[in-house]
Amino acid sequence: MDWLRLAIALFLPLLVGVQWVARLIPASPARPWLVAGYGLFAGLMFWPLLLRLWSACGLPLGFWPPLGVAVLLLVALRWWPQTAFPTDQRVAQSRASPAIRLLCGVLLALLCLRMLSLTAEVIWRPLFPWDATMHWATKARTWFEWQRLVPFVSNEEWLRLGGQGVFTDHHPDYPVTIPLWQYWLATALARWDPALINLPWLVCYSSLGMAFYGQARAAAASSVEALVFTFFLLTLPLLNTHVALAGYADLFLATAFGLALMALHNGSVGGQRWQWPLLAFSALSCLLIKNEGFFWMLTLLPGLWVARRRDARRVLLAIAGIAVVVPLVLWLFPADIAVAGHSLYSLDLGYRPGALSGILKSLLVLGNWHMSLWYLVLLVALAVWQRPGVLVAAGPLVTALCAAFLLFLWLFTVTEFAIGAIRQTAVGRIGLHLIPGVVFLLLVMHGQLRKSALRPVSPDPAA
Amino acid sequence: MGDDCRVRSLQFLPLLCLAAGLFYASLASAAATPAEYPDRTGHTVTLHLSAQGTGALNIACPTSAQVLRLRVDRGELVSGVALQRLSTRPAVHRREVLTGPFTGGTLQLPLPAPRAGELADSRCRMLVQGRQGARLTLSVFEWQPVTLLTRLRGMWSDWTGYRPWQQYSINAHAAVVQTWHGLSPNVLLGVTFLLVGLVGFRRWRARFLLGWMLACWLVLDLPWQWRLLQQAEATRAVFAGVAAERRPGFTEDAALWAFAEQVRTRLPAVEARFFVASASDYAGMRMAYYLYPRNVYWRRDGPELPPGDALRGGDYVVVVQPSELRREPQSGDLVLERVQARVLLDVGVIALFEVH
Repeated sequence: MDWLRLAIALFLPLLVGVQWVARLIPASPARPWLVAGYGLFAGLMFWPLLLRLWSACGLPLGFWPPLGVAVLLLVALRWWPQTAFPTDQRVAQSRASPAIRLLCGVLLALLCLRMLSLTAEVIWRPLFPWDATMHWATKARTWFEWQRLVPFVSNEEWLRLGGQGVFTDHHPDYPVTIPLWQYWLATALARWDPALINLPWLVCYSSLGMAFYGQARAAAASSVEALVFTFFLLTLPLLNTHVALAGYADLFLATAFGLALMALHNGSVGGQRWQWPLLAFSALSCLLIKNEGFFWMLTLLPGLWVARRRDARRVLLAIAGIAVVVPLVLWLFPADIAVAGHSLYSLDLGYRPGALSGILKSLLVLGNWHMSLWYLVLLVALAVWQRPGVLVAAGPLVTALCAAFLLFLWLFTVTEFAIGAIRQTAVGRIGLHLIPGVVFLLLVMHGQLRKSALRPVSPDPAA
Repeated sequence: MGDDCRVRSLQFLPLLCLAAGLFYASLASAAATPAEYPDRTGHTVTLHLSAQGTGALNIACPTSAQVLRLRVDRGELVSGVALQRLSTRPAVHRREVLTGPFTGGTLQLPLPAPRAGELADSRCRMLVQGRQGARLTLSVFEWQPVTLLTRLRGMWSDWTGYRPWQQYSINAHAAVVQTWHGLSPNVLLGVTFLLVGLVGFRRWRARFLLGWMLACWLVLDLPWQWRLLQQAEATRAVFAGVAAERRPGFTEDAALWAFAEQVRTRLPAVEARFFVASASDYAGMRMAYYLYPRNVYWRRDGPELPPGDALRGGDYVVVVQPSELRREPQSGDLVLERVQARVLLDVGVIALFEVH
């Protein structure tokens, strides 16, 4: 019975997300993967919103009443008309050789083995990493016991109120999407299970992989190329660790930002207007996961500006603009005003020696990202040498990622968070937010290099 | 007269010889290895770990930087090993700790070279940490100079060895953790990838690049996949078959969780306020977590408890060592400003007090 309730609690909300996204995406070779990937993630984001709305209306929480709403939504979506976007007509690709098919089989087998290893950790290991028990699961545990979303406040506020009707932990102001999923699954099981409450991490990992594959196909990559790069993404060690030692929100934020970047790229290519709602929903999801999601969402704006007219000069102008604006903002913004939980005063601005080497160590020396950043170094060198038109082809994606990287660089070199780079305590986790976008950029750059090699050489007019 | 002076000077010759002999003998004795630091090359030694799970073995060692290769029969019982060179000047013993378990049974322990200006000391001590009371058989004891090949072997052993999950694992994944070999598979493979990739791209273009990238990726990924499988098996061995709510009792938090369970049994009502006090962020944070859904107050990076007037009758204080809070030596009650806190439960490192 436990497993039945757990299955219903997990799949019914996710099915709502899948049904909704299915209304947005037209027929195309990539459709099943996009619907599955974006749909599962939509379900992960949507369900906590429903629970919050339910609680805000003063309705008693529990297991079956919210599920009743989910069933109604499924029925309503069933009758909702499909969005009238043009069908994506792409030429079917030729069948791969036996050697390539064998390679694909091996990669799929390795991915299945990876999934199995991670699933074993999630279903058996109780909550383990630091933040998971410091400020994420604390809320879930309390809400499960009280069966209502009791408020969490700061230590000072808690003392002032004498703890009457309020609770406290180390980060009471963090978004509640993650703990709401943990609360929900505990409610489904009718007990606090410190392992099974982390099943959404497996769902998030799967949704990231499927969405990436779908977007890779939508970006005109062959099925083999798409599979290889999806393999690269899903086998990143630090990403795997965030699934195995579930309980942190960074995997979810990485997925949200990555899905937004991919939709931004493919939506700006042309003929894929249906990507814009996916971009909007993914970008807004960043706000629901962690406070720093607000800043990642902002980095999409220069990308959108470049998408209006994609040319190399516009891209370089946008990147240069961000490089100038960020230090200006840091210099001129009032120090005591807090944005997304942080004020300039609390950031303690000043260059920290050792931070840059810590960042380089995290990106290239440690094993966080396998060969990803080495590949990026090579592709950038080849892009400068061969000029395959990456800035034109992937301008919005490059601009958004560069903006995000500049923010990342500033955060870990001139603020108090530089300690997170020097001691390797935070630079990897924040880098995780950008890495799905980086791997997608690798795919796009690889594609451009491949296309530039196939372009016919113009005859010499002097001959 | 001249003959008398020569005779007198010759009388001092035996004394000079004796002094010279004593001087050279002292040098020789300083260089010679004392008997309590024997040369164990090729020997087999049995080491008993203490009740605290520690053991030490004195060993004669070379005066230069080398690597000690040895075998241990029950490496899975060993959680850490270090080889330190005793220093004559300054009195600082340097070492690099290798963390276990060592399921393969072969260890490569780095021995640092003496520092500049330091006398080369041939006395070393091997420190072992593992299961309490374990009996280990150590053999082989082979010294190897630190060459590129030794470093590569050390890197390989470090890279492919099993390491359990640690708290830092969520922040960073390090393919290798030992510093003595100074190598990183990511850097070695990355540089190789760049050089071969550039050459190959010129010849075979983008398709070669992807294939070469995939090959390098698999070289890095297969050891990682192997480690994940080993870790999943270790997780299964500990937790499978244990009821979910009891699993924290099989982790390093077992004492904290067990104490919280005692509190739950003794004080079933959830309305009371609980203040968690500890000088250790980890201990305080985990104790607070296991006490939820009670109304728990714990502050990171701040005083262990709020000011005395914040506490009132009916509150509870849980103190987790290490802590700077003081207790009455006789009654064991907590010494606080303005309020009294009587001990209710005390397991040594953790105690529960009720505020009056």
